[in-house]
Amino acid sequence: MADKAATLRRRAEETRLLALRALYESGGGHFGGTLSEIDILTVLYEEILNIDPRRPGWNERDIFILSKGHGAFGLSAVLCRRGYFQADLLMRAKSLDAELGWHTTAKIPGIDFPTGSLGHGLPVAVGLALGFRLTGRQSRVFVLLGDGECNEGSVWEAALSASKYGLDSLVAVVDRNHYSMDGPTEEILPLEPLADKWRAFGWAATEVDGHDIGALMEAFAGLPLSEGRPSVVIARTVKGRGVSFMEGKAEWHSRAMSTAEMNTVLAEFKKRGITET
Amino acid sequence: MSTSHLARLERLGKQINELECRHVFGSVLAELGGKDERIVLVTADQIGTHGGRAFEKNFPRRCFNLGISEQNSIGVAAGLALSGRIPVVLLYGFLVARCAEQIRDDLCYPGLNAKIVTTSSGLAMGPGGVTHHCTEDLAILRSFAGLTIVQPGSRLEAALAAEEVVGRMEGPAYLRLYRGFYPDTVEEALAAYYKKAGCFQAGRALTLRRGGDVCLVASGLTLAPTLEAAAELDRGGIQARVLNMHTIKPLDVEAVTTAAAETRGIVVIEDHNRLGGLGEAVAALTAEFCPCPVLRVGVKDCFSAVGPMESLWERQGITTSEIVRQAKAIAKGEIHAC
Repeated sequence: MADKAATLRRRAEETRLLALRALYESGGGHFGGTLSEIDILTVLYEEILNIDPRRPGWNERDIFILSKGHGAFGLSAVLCRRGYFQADLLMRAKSLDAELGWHTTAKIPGIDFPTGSLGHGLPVAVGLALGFRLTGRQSRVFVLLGDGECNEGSVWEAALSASKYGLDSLVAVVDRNHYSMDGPTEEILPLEPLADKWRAFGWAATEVDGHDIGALMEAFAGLPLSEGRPSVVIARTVKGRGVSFMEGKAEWHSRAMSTAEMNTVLAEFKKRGITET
Repeated sequence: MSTSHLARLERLGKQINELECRHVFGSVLAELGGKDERIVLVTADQIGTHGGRAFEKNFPRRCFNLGISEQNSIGVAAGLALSGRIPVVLLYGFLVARCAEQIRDDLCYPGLNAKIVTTSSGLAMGPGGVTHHCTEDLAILRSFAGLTIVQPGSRLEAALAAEEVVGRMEGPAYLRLYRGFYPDTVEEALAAYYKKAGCFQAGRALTLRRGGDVCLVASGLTLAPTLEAAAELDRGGIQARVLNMHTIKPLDVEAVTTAAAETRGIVVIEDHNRLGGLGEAVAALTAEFCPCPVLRVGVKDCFSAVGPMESLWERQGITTSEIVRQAKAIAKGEIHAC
């Protein structure tokens, strides 16, 4: 497991750099939330989800919904590394009819549902889990929420529904990077105690370091956290993780990166032994 | 007309006998549910009020009552549709505004096969007050690409529309129903029409009356005063064409442009804000392709009041006399902006 974690750690770093290159080429986008989610997504797509990149529409696959749709570049970079498509798709986000934009579209191979506006993913995931249960399909449904997104009432409407139906095939992961667009979540609209809120809504909850690959693997391997209840994994992350001048900086939620800044990014990754392939 | 079509109408006639429209829909839905196990019901604590009990009784596992959470209900419906089910969401019409973004992003944008059904069109919930009036839903939903919008004008037409929209049509659709009994005159007129002219076809208006002086376009409950107005105009020597525009979107372009070319102008009668509704759809179409006078009878861009629906209609001018007055103005070329 330690070897596997080391491999995935390196893969996640390479994916970060790929996502940063794509964001740079696109002329703008969401840096902070992309970098905070990549370790989570790498573990899910490399180790946990029952998927087959050669058959994106395989009808026994697990489903993943990126409810924080502004993390589109992070998810797309992970899908690319997983073999769903070639990297050129990531680099043409500025062109007309691009598959990839600042939010997900269903034109990207491997993405089942388009997202962008917040508070939509969890209700859809609940519907999927209910539908699969009706037909006896064994697939699990994963959804990644932003922590700021948990300000949305619809998230909690859906949380109540999942609890009512005891959807233990449903897993919500919260990218707890502590920032929304205007600043720290605990200043904008406090969320803590977040895990207890989910528990009060009938979910089984656990908290994990969202950048500790081994801890993420362990947490996801233990799903469902409780039989007959939906699971939520609150992954404590750092917004802008992996780039010194982006970490914990609200202004990197969404903006453009200059060529000089991209060169700094490349130098920082090179120091850690990661270069573009 | 084929024997099977007539037999179907006769069977539907018996099935809906004595049922309010919401229960007509519920009865048809339960029947469709027996034929297609993909059909599921989603609602936000509104099963009983919109006639969903029959389906719930027959198919409890396929019925998802999500409590008072309309945004969630639309999202869950999207998920069910993604999983291969055909969700039917029962809502009060005024709640469309609350979950408009979910309808746009989760159903229309991905083009999912999900249906939204409301049973409180326009000012029908009169004493319920402004919060329960449904006079902006069409303005919102008409602007969502890919959404079919159907508003039947009788219980029989509601049954036929439900069979079409839920049972056969692919893609997102909105069915705007009245809760109770439509006026007998319209019920009979539409029954006669379908007996003679055939099936319900979404997007194809019914010509209920021929005439070349003026065209009256109505939909849903407003067909009753519209048909009365046409009869009164006839007595005064004005021949009014009457179109039952049961499909608000896609609009029957041919029926409207033909009416624009063959008459002196159009009056649109609707139980909705005059902004954004059927009248505006007809006015926009004719302004672009076949300019003619278009007058709109409907809610006058205001919040209404508490009161019986008939009184609220009277205040808004949704009356036979007002339709006659507007139609005469067009027929005689005496239109004045006020």
